Amino acid sequence: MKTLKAAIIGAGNITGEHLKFFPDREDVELSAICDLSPSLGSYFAKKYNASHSFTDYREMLDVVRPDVVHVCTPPHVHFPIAKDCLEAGTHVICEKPITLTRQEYLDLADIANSNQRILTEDHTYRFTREFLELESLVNEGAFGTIREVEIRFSLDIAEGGRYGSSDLPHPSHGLPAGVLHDFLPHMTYLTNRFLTSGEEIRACWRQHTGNKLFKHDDLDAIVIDPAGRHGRLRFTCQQHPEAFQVFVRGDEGWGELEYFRPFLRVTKSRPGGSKLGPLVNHVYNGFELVRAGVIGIKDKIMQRSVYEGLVKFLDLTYDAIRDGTEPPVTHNDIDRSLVLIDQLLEEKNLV
Amino acid sequence: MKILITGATGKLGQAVVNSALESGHQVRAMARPGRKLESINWFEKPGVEVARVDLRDRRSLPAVLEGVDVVVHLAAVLGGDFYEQFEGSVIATENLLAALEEKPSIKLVHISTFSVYGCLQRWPFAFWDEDSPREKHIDERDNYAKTKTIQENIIREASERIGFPLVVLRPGVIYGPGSWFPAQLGLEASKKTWIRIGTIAPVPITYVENCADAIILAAEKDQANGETFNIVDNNLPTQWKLMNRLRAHQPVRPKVIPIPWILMRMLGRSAWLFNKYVCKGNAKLPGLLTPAQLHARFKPFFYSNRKIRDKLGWVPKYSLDESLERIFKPVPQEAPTPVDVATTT
Repeated sequence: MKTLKAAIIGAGNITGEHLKFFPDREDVELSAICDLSPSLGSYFAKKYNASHSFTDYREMLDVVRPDVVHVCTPPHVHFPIAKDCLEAGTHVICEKPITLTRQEYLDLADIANSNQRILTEDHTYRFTREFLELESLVNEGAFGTIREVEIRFSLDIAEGGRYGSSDLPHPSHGLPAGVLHDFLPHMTYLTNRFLTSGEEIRACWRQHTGNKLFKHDDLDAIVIDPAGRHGRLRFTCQQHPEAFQVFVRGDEGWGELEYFRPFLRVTKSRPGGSKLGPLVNHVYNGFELVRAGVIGIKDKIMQRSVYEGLVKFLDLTYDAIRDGTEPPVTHNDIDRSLVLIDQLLEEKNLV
Repeated sequence: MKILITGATGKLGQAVVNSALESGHQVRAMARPGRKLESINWFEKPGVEVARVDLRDRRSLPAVLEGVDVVVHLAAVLGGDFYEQFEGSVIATENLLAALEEKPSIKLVHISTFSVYGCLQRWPFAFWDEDSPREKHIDERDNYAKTKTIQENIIREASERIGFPLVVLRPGVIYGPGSWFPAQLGLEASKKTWIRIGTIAPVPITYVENCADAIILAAEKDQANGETFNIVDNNLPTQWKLMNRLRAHQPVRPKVIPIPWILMRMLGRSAWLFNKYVCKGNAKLPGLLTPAQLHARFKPFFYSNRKIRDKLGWVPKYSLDESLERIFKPVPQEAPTPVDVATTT
């Protein structure tokens, strides 16, 4: 079996999570890491046994000729780097948001198509254990017909830290929706798993914390699809502790997922009928909560983080590259996510 | 002499600025753009000019080096995740070194740390000086040790390549107002209960003002160029002695729970074996149960400051007791404003 040569461009925070994928995958060789900081590139290259490190990605493409490139740079340079990689004949796995506009993405997709390469975007949170379980319950009809979905982010990022500090403003402040744009793809691709398309949209972008760096620090948006399913996308910097939750409600049950302290709470039709059913759900949820607590402690010790979905996503993507099949995050998934982002920012939909 | 001081708003940085001013130097103090300076003890002192620059922003650095004779490089990030520490310590240093390429006559005094030394393979009570071996198990140390090791390595490599004069100073544990409980003692479980790990190990401390004087001495003296110096005070106390001295300065003497070093060592070793054979090395254990980190904090060694005393004539200004007096001296209360009875009735 031919070994696929992989390279990473950009050795920032998320790169550490990408790197966790390589040691367990024997048919993929990490060949190079490229970063503007020579020390950072060589540190990761040494730690993960990559044979090269570079500060110029074009030189890396020429010398290493990788089969797959992971683009992990800040979003505003995704487009030129992904374009150069696709034109050099590599498959591209890009961090979110893949591009700043939908048109840029469509241009990249055209190049990928004509070169018969895969171009995909990291949709990490679709591939965690709990989300896959939730999605399978929905697909099995455990909640009946889905009526609404809610994606809720609560992050403490407005003061200090990498997003809130004014010392060296984070590059994401320059994105169309400011810092929130960095999180928006997660909300849109998760919403799209349960809704078809946004027919009616109202987006309320606000600035509550007073940090002038932030274009917005709060989003409350409603999306209604042609089947009448409601989606709510909620982002706030003012609720603590930090949380990232998904609620899916149907006419026969509902599921609630928390990513940061992984737990899936499922309330559905269970044995016991209308009288004992609620009690059975209660007991069942109690056991599940204890189980999630134990698994959470074990995960903490074993260094499994909220990014465990990324390894699964990469695994499936490399399988697709090897087999020549469609990747787990398809062109349609990416395009629909970008369409919804555009709609949330569209003047006519603002409240 | 004009001295540029990076990290000038930190605890050591403030002491270094003041020591430089006392020695008659001009100071350009580097502070991040968002840092409030009103509470900094050199704020608005004559002889200090402030450079509002973030070292992570490479473009602004060449101008900051204009007219400077010596750079004292203190900037490092102690907290946050690996990338934040790497960016604030190593990438910031890469940027400084890139700016120094244009001005190779500027002397660099780099403030490294004892954390770059290795402890795991050394015998207890071994002699510790500038020739002691560097850490070989760097991936098992904390992010601070990792990033400071890389930082020192790239500075040494750049000095050889560019040719600027370099002095590397490696202070032990710096203590002073606000940070007087060295991690090498154990843990402050609460205000009433302290945990002491070990008893007779000497604690490699240096009082912040003593350390600052050593740094300015290294900046001034040409015979320091090309050398590496450890900085620890004279007559280092044992863990038992230092903890008792610190307790005496508390309003209510905390209770001490002593844990023998040998017991912690066995626990650390057992946790390491469990991780290696049961968890296949995938578990992330607390620092106290990670042998490389545990040994770095508590293993007993004998430390020497002979080189810096002999070569630069450094004499720590304050003894342990004098330092503790300065740290815990009561803050003078402002006299109440006299009330004019006639106008308040």
